[in-house]
Amino acid sequence: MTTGDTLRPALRRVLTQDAATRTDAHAVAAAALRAYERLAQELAPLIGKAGLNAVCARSVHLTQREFSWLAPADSAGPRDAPFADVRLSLEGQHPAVATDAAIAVLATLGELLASFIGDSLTTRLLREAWPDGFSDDTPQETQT
Amino acid sequence: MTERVRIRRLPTGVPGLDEVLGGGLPEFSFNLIAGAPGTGKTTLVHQIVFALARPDRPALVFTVLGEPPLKMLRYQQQFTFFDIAKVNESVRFINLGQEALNAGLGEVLKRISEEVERTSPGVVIVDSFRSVGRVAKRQNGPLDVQRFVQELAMRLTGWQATTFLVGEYQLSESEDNPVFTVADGLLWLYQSIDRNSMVRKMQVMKLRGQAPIPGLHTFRITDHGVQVFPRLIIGPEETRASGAAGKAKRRRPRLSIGVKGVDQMLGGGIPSGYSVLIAGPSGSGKTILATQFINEGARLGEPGVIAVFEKRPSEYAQTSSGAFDQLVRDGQVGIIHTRPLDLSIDETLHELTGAIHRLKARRVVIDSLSGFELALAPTFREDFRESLYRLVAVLTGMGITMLMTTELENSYIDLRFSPHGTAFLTDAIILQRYVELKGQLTRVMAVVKVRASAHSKELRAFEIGDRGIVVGDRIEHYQGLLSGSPQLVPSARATPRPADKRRPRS
Repeated sequence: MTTGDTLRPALRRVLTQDAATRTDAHAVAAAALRAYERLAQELAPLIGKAGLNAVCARSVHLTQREFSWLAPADSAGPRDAPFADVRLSLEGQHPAVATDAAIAVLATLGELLASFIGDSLTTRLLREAWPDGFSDDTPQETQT
Repeated sequence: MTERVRIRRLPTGVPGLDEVLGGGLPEFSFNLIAGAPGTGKTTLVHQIVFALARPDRPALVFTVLGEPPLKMLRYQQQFTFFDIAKVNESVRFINLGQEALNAGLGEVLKRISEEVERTSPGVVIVDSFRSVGRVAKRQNGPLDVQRFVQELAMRLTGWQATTFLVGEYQLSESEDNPVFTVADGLLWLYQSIDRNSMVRKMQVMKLRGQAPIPGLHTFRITDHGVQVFPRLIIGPEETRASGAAGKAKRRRPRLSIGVKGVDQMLGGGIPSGYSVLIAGPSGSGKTILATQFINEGARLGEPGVIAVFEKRPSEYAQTSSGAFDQLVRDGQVGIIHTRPLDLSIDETLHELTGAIHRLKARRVVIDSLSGFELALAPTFREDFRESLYRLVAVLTGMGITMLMTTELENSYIDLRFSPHGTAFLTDAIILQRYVELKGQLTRVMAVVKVRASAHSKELRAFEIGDRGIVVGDRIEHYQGLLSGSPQLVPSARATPRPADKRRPRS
């Protein structure tokens, strides 16, 4: 699956809109949280908060192979804040590393979702969540 | 004002279901789809949702516990009706999480009402409503469940929504559960197990405002979703047309069977709209006669359909002349080849009527009844005779002339025409037998009955050549031919005249 081929550049655009993210890991973490919350807004009604938390926890777990310092998302914790620990982890890193890690977590989440409900539906949801990231993309769907 | 309200009937998008419902789904009705796990409730309701949802009147699908939404979306996408482009545009899935349930029925009603008032949906689904009912019962007691269901029905109908509640219920629960009382429509799905076979069935237990087809209807779930095969009901027209009185009253045109000698024996061909049984032992030439009947129809511009339950379609081409293949390619002949062992008669009739309408067919062959019975699921074999009666009545009621073959063991101790006791269902019977004459097997044929018509009583020898059946003369000078021990009548010549070698007409 190559969802990430279009997804990762889109996420980079979303996360680096604020110039402060180049120098401040806190700004990166805040941007990542906002991006996650926008996605959660689209996904939670569709797959439920429990489903979203489970997919989020799995994507953090998979990303830990590359960024071992990431704190696991607590899927059994408070339902409104599964991304809170991830945010704390990002804040402790160099801004560039934090940006790469945040992109990796959110892209993995998108890829995981695509593996469950298909590229087509996933792409629609991601585009609705992050219109700024995909605004200059011509393809309407990612490829598998 | 004396004008009565007209209830609009919505097409469900489920083949066969509109017919079962009596013309479609009553608009603004409040319905329950019930059944055990795995009976196809969610698939059925999604198929309806995707058929009815429009951007201006979207469908709201509230998922409540039951199947996790992530899995539901994953699996339902496998069906062709699941149009991804409609998701979030005209089909909106809303997960009513545990929080809403924990907060009680009031909160559930509030969440549903808010979404309904915000989006003004044409269709609303709550799947599984059973989960709502369980939580409600635990928290508030049965009286409040009743109020909740009534209020939900009022609000959704008030907002002009057609509603489906989906739940895993048992039949025994239908007596004291308020949702069964309040619902306008109640559709029950079953998995009927008999020996090793499973057949899906559904029943419309109630539907206010219109008359559904009563009884159990079989259905299948394929890649395209649910397809229902409405149970055959013989209408008054078909009863009149297929009844003996109806057949006697009208003078019917005759159809050639494609073998001149057999036409003569039948009294001038088969009266149109008749059902004919050809009974005989293996290899006696039943399929060949049936194929000649179809070929002759095609030659005269009367397309035909053959339902094959034993041979493969390619074997038909070998049985007949090479022209048969061409007739199939030209759309003059349709072949239905079904060999699964879980068919219902209704499904077969559906296939047949589909092909009949497509080809504008006037002739139908079922080859053979023995194979047909074997292809049915065990649960339907017990009712084979009754079901066959309905099938024959429906087809002949459509004006179709049909010919059925049946395997009959050569028995010399009794004279039977059908192993199924189905002989009385048909209007005409042609019997084929082997007899021993002068140390060799000879095929003989007799017309046993043609309802309301004169016909030959002769036992005639016949041969099967390259161009089909050739009927010879009456076998004279013998008696006891059917007993297996024919006796030469004293002072008579024992040689039957050879079969007519003239070329058959097809």
